[in-house]
Amino acid sequence: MSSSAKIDRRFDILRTAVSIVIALIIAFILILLATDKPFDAIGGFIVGPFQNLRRFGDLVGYWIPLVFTGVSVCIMHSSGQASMIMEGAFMTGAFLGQIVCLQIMIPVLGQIAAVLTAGIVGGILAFIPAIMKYRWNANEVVSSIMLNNVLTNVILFLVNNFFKDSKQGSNQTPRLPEEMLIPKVIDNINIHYGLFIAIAVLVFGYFFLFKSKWGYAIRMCGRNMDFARYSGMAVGAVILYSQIIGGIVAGIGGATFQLGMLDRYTNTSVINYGWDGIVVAMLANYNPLSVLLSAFFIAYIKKGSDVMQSIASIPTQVSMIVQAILIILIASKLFLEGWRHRAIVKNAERELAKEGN
Amino acid sequence: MEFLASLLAPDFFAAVFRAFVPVCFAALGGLITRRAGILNMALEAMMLWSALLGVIFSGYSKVWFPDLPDVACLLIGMVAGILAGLLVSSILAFFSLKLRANNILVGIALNNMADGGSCYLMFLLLETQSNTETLTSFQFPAVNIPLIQDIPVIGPILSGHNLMFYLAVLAVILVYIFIFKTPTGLRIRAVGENPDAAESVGIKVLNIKTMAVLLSGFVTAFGGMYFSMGYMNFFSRNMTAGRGFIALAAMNLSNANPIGTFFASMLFGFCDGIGTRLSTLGAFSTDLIKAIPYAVTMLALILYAIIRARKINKIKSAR
Repeated sequence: MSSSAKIDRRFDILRTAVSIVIALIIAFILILLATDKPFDAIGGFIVGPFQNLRRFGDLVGYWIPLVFTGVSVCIMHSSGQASMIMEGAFMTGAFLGQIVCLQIMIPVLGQIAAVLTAGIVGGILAFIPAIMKYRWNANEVVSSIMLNNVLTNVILFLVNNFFKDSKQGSNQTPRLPEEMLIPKVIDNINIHYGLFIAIAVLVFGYFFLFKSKWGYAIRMCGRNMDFARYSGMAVGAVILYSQIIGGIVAGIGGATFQLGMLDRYTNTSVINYGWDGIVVAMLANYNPLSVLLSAFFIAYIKKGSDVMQSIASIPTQVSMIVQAILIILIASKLFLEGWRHRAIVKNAERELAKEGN
Repeated sequence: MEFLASLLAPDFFAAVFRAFVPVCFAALGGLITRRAGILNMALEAMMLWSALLGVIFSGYSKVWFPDLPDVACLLIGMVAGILAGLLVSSILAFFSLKLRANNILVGIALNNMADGGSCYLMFLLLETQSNTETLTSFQFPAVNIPLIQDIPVIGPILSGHNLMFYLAVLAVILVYIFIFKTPTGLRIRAVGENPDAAESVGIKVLNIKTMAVLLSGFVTAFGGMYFSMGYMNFFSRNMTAGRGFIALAAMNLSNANPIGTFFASMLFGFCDGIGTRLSTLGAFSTDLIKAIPYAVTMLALILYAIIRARKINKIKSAR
């Protein structure tokens, strides 16, 4: 790698690190405003998730769905399509996971059927904004967000009218018995076997995106659609399959999350994992392997803010704000640009001086 | 039959117009940036912050200066709301234009930050995360237009709505004039259609785009303020409930034309009104009804995209 490229790489990492530091500083300021025991709160935020196995298990419980949605976004957005359908696909996947298991009360078979159904439907859902973009050039951001909203309401309707648990208040499905859920690795801790599915998806994502020709096509379309077209790539097909595969991954993630972590379905317990997947993918620079780390980081922030809430009553919105700041800073390509530019120029001058002698 | 008749009643129109106002303002905001070539995803954020800060300032100005007349407090709130919209849009402008961040990502991040931040601010100031009902705040009044309100059938339909409804209609006209009949509007359109060509004739593209974004914040702020200072007199958590995205869709539908945006926003208001009517009839489940505006928007998007694609194909094959 040339020395300029090395500097570029170094600055990418530096920018991410500085962004994280700035976001955390702002988080601390917000915490200071809300409590008179800031150090307890901050301590809880930083160390809390690791203090006992149960909390760490919750962290892993957050981490698993984020891996799915993170990989999903990596694949979908690498093609240049900013579809937001993973939020709806995840939710629908979770809902279908619950429903299919409720209908098929056979242990292992039911879960496999549930996850497969969730994946297929997730793919179909992602196909809708994709085909609208492909055939009619309809903006996929708006159409996917609209579809997400439609799905939320339709699922709510289905839950309240067809799948309701009549013994409970509204908006919940009946419980699934123990044997229909994805078992936990350790009893009563939220680390479940879905973890292995997540890792499998991660590895698949990496090999698909970076080691296969379809993945290459996706990434080239994202970098420069015209270049890809003139190189002979079927750009339309790329738009379609990148989103379908992303939708499948998100759907599987939803079902795995639902069956691994919860025994009832409610809309409110499965929201936001899709949106969080965007941050995860960005932090990972759209590389599925790095999603391992970035999903862990975001899960850590989420669990940290949970702990902070239970210790010092600080609302969990702090983690939302931190994530938002992270997105904005990391997405800013020219952040620290002056610095980077000067470093590259100095390096180039040094190289020239060396050659001159 | 009775149902259809009830659609002609002034109540129904009032409901339609109520839903129309915030979507119209936000869509106009989105339109201005779209004309400059930017997709403004942060409409939700602008509306949430202007809604919250408007209420807070109008309420607290009464608390700090009890002798101030209510109208003054309301105006202070309005100024605060406008400043809030401008602040959010300046953040959007800075990061997406100056630091070249992807404006869709920044917009989404701003929306999430607004959702979380507005709850957090409410929590810091009022110890609650649900709404600001504990703070007495002021509303824009309803307006009864003197002569028009006496016209037999149309009168009650046209008159008696909140001041902001009439402001919204005025805004449509003003934005139309601005975009199509002023030199600055021409520059904005030039920058949107072909930034390189505009640059070559000396237009400072960055400045024009920044101005468009700031203007968008200004206009959208009114949409936000309508929620908490027109329709209600308090702010509640996530009050905007996706209206910002509906506004984007409305703007898309009308191809960024203010007049078209007016009708698209009316269409949305109509769907919302019909939905509420249908739910009071009890014939359909409220959940499905809530999905109607979004589904209609999607269908309209598809229809519009098909029509546009056909037009383009016609042009292409005519060559």
